[in-house]
Amino acid sequence: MDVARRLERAARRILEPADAFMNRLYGWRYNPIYHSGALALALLAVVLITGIYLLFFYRVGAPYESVARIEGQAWLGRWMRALHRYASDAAVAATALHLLRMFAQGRSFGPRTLAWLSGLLMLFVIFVAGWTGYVMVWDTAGLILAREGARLFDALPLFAEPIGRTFVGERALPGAFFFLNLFLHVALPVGLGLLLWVHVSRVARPNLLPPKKLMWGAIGLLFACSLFWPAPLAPPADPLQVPDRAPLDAFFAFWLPLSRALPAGVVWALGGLLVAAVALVPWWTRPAAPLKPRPSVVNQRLCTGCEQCYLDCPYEAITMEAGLERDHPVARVHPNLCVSCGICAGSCAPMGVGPPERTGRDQLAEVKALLAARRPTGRELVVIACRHAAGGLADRVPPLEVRILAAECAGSVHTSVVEYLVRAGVGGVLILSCPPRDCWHREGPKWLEQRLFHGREAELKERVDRRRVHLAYAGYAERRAALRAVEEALGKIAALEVAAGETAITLDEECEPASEPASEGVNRT
Amino acid sequence: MSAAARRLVSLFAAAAATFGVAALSRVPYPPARPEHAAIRLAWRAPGQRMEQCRRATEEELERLPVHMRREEICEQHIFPYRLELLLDDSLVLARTIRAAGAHRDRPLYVYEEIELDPGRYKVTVRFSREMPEGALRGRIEGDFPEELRLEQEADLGPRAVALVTYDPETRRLVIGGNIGQ
Ligand code: HEM
Ligand code: SF4
Ligand code: SF4
Repeated sequence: MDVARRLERAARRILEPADAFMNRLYGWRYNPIYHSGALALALLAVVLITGIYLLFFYRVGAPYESVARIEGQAWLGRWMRALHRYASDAAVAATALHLLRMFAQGRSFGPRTLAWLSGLLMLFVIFVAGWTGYVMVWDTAGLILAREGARLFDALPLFAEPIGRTFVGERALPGAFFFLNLFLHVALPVGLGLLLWVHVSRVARPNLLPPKKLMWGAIGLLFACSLFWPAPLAPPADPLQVPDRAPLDAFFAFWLPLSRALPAGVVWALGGLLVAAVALVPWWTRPAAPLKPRPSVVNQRLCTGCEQCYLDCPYEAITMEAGLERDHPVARVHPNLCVSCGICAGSCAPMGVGPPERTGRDQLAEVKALLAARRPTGRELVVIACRHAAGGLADRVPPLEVRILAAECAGSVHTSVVEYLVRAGVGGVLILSCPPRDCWHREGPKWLEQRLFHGREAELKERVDRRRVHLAYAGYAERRAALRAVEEALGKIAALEVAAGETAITLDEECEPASEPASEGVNRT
Repeated sequence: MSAAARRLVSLFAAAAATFGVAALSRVPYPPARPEHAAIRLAWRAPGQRMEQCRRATEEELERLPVHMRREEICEQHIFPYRLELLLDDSLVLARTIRAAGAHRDRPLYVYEEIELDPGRYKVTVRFSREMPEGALRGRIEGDFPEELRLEQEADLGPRAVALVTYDPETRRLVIGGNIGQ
């Protein structure tokens, strides 16, 4: 196994147990780690709003005094400042989790390269905005940060006059310095909006905000903390004193103790290496040819032009275009946008699209082979488990009464497969998916659930005995939950009559043309 | 875990995470209280400009167009200066300060900081012109002194910074900051 896969696995070893723990506490709907990207965005919105308030009172001519005055406003200013700060800190923490999550799940290369790079750029902007924010206060902590920044930049041949001279204490600091600092602090985050647009430009229906309960819960807690534990304000910066102990923000200044202990050149070299390693992740984690995810292909002869795959693809990798020898538009997959999740394979009733060897037709062939090798007893359970979740059951040897099929994504499972299994006489089918917000491919479980139980196109047909079809969610580290779902399904099968199998099974391979234009995300029933 | 216990634990965990964020937002730095004082040497000096000329070689002349051929090739530099700091007559810092810029034609910037124990010191700073290697043929420009020298007692309390700068009006080094005269 190469280095990239090993690192990804190591990251998953950290993330998966944490996910499982959070699911137990908050349930998967409100698991903050699942929502870390959206949570970061919600927190940045709080930073923006509180920042606008603070801007009214900040004075470049008397920075420290103006912040002290804000601190003096016991009712509004003090907690606004604290919330501005704590929300930025929490946003950095959430972004770090989001980054770790994307890396651990291998969502860092190919069509996701643009999201990876723009995300890093956003993180960098947040980081610089934080740095300038602390300098703005111009207390001891601000002075320490400004001095260190000047030391590092003076080691580069950038400025005609060393900027460190600004802070020697010979004369008062020019207002121009604070103006420039304020400008950076405000202008950079404005660029975040543009970057965010780029960041989510390749995903369909981005989840920009976390569920309300989670969002307001997090903001409420930070607000309470701001009320009861306001942000510290160190004594004013005095360049003619060796700085006393100052409260530093670990989220933005974690690097400072290391940096101060090293020569500037070494700091630049180490920082440069780290940035290069993270920025080049899309290139060094990209799997080599045999393991590279293969993009979906459309079989134009089968495509009826129903548009369902085009609506379901979570990466907007499919467009409808005029087809050769067809009098209606047909689906076309753009290989450079396709992450090979296979979700379109589950969307297509005529089974005309999907990654090579994973289309509905390929899935059916696999199931037929499984049943040919061992005839259904009418009592067994067939578990279709997502490889990336489902308590890791996809990697396990099952007990006798359970058979396991592995899927890249539960959302890629074609409902015909479920229909075929049930009508062939297996006791029951359990699809074990990841919890919906955990999906490596974003929307797999969401579409699957709608196809199974709410008639979303490529739906499980009415005639299939629903008592024998089960859907459960479990993360990779949630083996107990996965096994419990298996036990429950087996229990339900035991309570039913022995399934009778049909012999000549014919499946419909038709889809109704999409009549409602905006059918995505809406239950058809 | 019962539903009520889980609710309690989940609330507690969220509160603890929030508390953790606020606590990490104010980590005391540096970890130990520094009780030292410091002497900071910081100034900008125009320095002395010199023009160094040498006879051009045959090849160099050939490379130039006819109307630009001169016997001598001259380059302008600023002299480097030797910086020395002595505390109670013992040398604690000695450095050559070279002019900034790729062509060594920009001012001399001095920026040094020495940490020391609080106390009373005789501070001596010397800033004197250095002769570069090789013969100098040409003129020296500018009225910046060939040597600057400061000798003064300073009483440095804990965390006090003494600041030595150059005063272009009087063309002398001056000491200021928290020196408790
Ligand atoms: C300010 C910081 C950030 C915010 C607010 C943010 C927000 C988001 C949001 C809302 C999504 C869409 C999620 C979805 O609907 O599935 C997303 C996707 C993504 N983010 Fe970020 N992000 C940030 C930083 C980062 C960083 C630092 C990285 C990594 C270096 C990153 C990597 C990604 C990737 C790869 C995706 C695409 C996921 C996929 O294709 O499945 N993001 N981000
Ligand atoms: S596999 Fe299908 S659904 Fe997934 S990204 Fe590619 S085209 Fe879209
Ligand atoms: S779902 Fe199938 S039939 Fe419908 S547009 Fe896509 S490929 Fe064509």
